Amino acid sequence: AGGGMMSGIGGMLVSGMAMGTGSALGHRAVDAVLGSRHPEPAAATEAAQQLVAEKAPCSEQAKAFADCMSWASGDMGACQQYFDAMQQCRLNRSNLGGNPSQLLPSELVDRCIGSRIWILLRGDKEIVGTLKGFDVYVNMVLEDVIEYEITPEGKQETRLSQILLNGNNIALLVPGGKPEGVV
Amino acid sequence: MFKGGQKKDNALDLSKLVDKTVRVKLAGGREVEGVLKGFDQLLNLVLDESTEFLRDAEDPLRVTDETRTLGLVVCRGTSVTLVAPTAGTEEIANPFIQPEEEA
Repeated sequence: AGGGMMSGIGGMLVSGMAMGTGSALGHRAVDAVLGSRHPEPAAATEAAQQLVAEKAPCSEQAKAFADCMSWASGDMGACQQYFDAMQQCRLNRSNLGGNPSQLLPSELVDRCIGSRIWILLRGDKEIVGTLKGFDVYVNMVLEDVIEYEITPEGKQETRLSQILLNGNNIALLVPGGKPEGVV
Repeated sequence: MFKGGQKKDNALDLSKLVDKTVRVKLAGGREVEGVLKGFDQLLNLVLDESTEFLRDAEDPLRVTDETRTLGLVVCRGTSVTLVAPTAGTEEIANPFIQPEEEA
């Protein structure tokens, strides 16, 4: 996808790609424990150790917490600041894109750059075009565009060579364009 | 003071709904159902095998049973008004209908 990848969506996509796959199941269990504000100390330590073993994101903070718990014989109170630091690190990552093993919406749109995309707007208008790029607001640059409008007379088509589509009214994006024969 | 989670947590934790079928209502009246594959904090969603419920031609505010297949889609978080799992959802008779009265 060339230059389109790094620009516009800032570091979001880069971090998303860097998170990689990891261990989906392992992360769900870890998330369950560490997702709570006051997890059971032994479980929290175990979860942190798992993050370290997997070399998962935030494993540095997880190791600091696990080491502290081992030093403090499982006293959460003594290690609260390390737990907080670990949570903050994971929070920063999760704010960027949820669970690493899932598909980020922005990633999917980015993969669509260069191909046909079908955009359904909030009202009854639809746009099909080749996606050249988009920005953080999902304003989109499209080429070879067909605009579909549902008027009292029926469906109306307009062709446009290149447009900047305002992201304000976009409801749905369908990579691949509009299939033949769909209403 | 230990805050634990995010400053403003989502009321619905979408990670619980990943790989489940959800119904999404969008601003402007569109309704889509599909399998939740991904999301972000801004409520942008990735739905797979999705179908759109088409609206009544006469009454654009009502949704019919007619559908069209969309497939893998992204729902813009700025347009999402409702996300609900379909499991455990059932349609009931309209509890608000009142008999028409002569003015």
